[in-house]
Amino acid sequence: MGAEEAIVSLPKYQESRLLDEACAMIEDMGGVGAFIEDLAEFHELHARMNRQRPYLVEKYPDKWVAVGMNGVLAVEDSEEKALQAAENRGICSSDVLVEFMDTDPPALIL
Amino acid sequence: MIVGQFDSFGRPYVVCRLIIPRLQVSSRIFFLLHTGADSTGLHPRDARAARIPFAQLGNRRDSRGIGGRSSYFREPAILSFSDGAMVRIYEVGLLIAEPNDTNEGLPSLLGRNVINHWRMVYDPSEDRLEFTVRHADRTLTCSS
Repeated sequence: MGAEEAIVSLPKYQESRLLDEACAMIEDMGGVGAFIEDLAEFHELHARMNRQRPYLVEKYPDKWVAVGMNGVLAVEDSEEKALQAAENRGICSSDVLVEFMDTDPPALIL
Repeated sequence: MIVGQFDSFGRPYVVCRLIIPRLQVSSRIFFLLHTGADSTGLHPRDARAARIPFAQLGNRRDSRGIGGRSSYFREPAILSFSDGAMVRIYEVGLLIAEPNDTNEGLPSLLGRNVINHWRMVYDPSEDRLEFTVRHADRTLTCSS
């Protein structure tokens, strides 16, 4: 193989049908701007849960709590009930975080 | 840059959107960063929220960890992250855990098959968890 033949132009991006399909799905979601806003909202929802957790554990010990962008939506004895109660209030499950307010959380070693 | 966050236990997390076109899955996931994990894994709570159809999964794999051996299904998937005004996209072999009593409630793990493409600032004392992307399979911008 000559030196000229060894020179190849690299693609600008990874060629892949799966990547193409994912990019099309992102476009269908409203494009890059909407996608970024959507993830930022999810990031903030988790940040709120984390900020409020000490208060929530004290107020609702060992309960399942559903939290949305506007605060606590439901407090129940099970994850399923908390999610259902949030949905009954017209909140989509993907916009809700449901977590157990564990008064004695086990250490996580993975 | 991609910005993560520490939860109230001090665990490092980052959000992304998981996309699996074959299964019509598109779901936001809050991944725990795990530099000890060779691969990225989805655990049962997140799998349920993402409505993963387990009956359609195959390619079963075993893995070893602190909790012993676990069974996963390997599925080609897309992970997409927000990086300022860009979207960074990675194609991965996602390990989807077969639900059992021991993995119920575990966070999903972002492993080195993604983390190795980033430079990380890990500074809990300053509440900073930031990633500079060194490589992405695709990058989308508002104009792309």
